[in-house]
Amino acid sequence: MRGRFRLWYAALLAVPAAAATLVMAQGRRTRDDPRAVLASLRTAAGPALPAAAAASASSSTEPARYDRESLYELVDGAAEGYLARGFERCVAATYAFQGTARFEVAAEVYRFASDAGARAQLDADRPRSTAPLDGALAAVSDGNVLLATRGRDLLKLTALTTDPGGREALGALADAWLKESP
Amino acid sequence: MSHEHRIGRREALVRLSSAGLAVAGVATGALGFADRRTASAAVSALRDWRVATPGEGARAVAARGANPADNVRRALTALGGVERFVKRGEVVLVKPNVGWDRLPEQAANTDPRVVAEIVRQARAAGARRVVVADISCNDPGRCFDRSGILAAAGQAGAEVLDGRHVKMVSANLSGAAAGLQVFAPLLEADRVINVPIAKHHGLSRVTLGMKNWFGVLDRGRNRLHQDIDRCLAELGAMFRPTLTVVDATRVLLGNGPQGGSLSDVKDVGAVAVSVDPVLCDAWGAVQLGVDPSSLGFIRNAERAGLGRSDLALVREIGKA
Repeated sequence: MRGRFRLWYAALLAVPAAAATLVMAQGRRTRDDPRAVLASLRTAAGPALPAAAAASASSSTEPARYDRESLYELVDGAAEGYLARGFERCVAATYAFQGTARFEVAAEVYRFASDAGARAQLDADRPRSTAPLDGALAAVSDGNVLLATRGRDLLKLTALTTDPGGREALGALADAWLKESP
Repeated sequence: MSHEHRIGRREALVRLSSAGLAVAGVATGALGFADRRTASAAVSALRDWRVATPGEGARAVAARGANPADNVRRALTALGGVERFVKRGEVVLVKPNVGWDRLPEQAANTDPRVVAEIVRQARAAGARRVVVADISCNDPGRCFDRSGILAAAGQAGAEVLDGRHVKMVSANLSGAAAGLQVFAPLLEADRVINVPIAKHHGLSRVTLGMKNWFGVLDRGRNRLHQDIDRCLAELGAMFRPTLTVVDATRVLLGNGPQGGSLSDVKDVGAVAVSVDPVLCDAWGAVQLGVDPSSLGFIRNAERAGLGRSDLALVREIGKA
C-alpha cells in the first residue's frame, strides 16, 4: 500500500521535472546558438551604425549617442515627433568618402520601441521626392537623403555634398547596414 | 544604581562648539562644491536694442532678386539706410541661424551671403566691432564651417564666435526661459540684428525670427518646446532687436529644422528687413506657403503688442 503511494508521488513529480528539463534544454539551445547570442548582444548594445570599411568610407567620426533626454541636442524641435513614436536611443557619426573630391555623409540610427514606430518615423521624415531603393523594400532615397528601417531601427543618411558621388555613398552605407544581421 | 549621565557646563560648551564647527565645515564644503559660476554671477539686465523710428514710412521692406547681398542692400536702403540703425563706434551683434551641419544649398542655416552683407553694411556704418554668433545644435565647428558663415562673415570683417568660444552669463529672463543663461555677446552689444532663415519646423510649423532666439540660450532651452507658441512670444517680448532680417534666399519646406534633402528646398530669392519682428515672421511664413494667422506664436506676439502681422505694412520692392 505504502509502496504504491510512493510510486504515485514519483509519477506525479516526473511530469513537472520533464517539463522543466524540456524548457531548460530549449533555453540552452537558444543560448548556444551564435546568431541568437549575437542578436541579443546587439539588442543590449543599442543601435549600430554601418561599418565604415564595408561601405568603402575612408573614415568616420567617433559615434555620438543620444537618449530620450538628449535627443533634442541632435534634432532640436523634431525630437518631439520621435519621442511620440517611441524613440529609445540613437547613435550618430559622420563618414568621409574620397571620390573626385572629399565629401561627408551624416549617418544616424534611431531605435524605437517597436518596428511600427521606426516605420512611422520613416514616413514622417520622407523627403518630397523619394523612390524606393532597388532591392530594399524598407528603404527610400532621393539622392541626398536615404531612409531605411530594419526591425526597430531607422537609418537616416544625409549627403553633405551636392556632388553626384553622394548618391552612391548613401547606397553603399545603406547596403552595408542592411546586410548586417540584426 | 542610576545610569543617568549628567552633562556639565563645560562638556555642554565643548559639544556645542563641536556641532557649530561641523555645521560651518559642511557649509564651507557645500559652497566650495557648488557651481560658482551660477552662485556668484550677477544677473544682467537685457537691453532693448531698438532705435526710435519715425511714425511714417515702411515698417518692413522685402527685396527680390538672384543676388542675396544685393537684396539686403536694397531692402536696408529702402528702410532708411543702415546708418539709421547703426552708429559709429557701436558694437553690433549679428545673430544668424547656424544650428546645423548642413551646406548652404540644404537651407537649414542662414545664407552666408546674407550674413556677410549685413556685416559689411554694419562696418560701413562705422561699427567698432561686428560679432556673428550662435549656439548650434550640431557640432559648432562643423556648423560654422559647413554653412559657409565662418568664411563669409570673417572675410566681411566680423568676429565669428561659435558655441565653443562664447561665455554664457545669467540674464533676467522670465517665463519658461527663467533661469537659463544667454551668451555674453548679446549683452555686450549696442545693436542686435536677428537674421533667421525661413524654414519648416516639426513643432512650431515654421521657424523664423522669434524661434531664432533659441540660439542665444544654453542647453536647457529644450524645455521651451513644451508650450512652443507661448514660449516663442515670450522670447519675442524679451529680445527686442534693432532689426530682423529674414533670409528667404532658399527656404526649407519640409523636414525642418535640420533638413538635408534638396527636394525640400525652394529657391525664393528674397530678403525682408524690418523693425517689426512680428511683421517679419508673418512675411517669412508666407514665403513658406503658411498663412501667418494660423500660427499660434504670431497670434500670441501680436496680442502681446510686440508688432503687427498685417502684410500690407511690408513694402515689396521687387527685383533689382
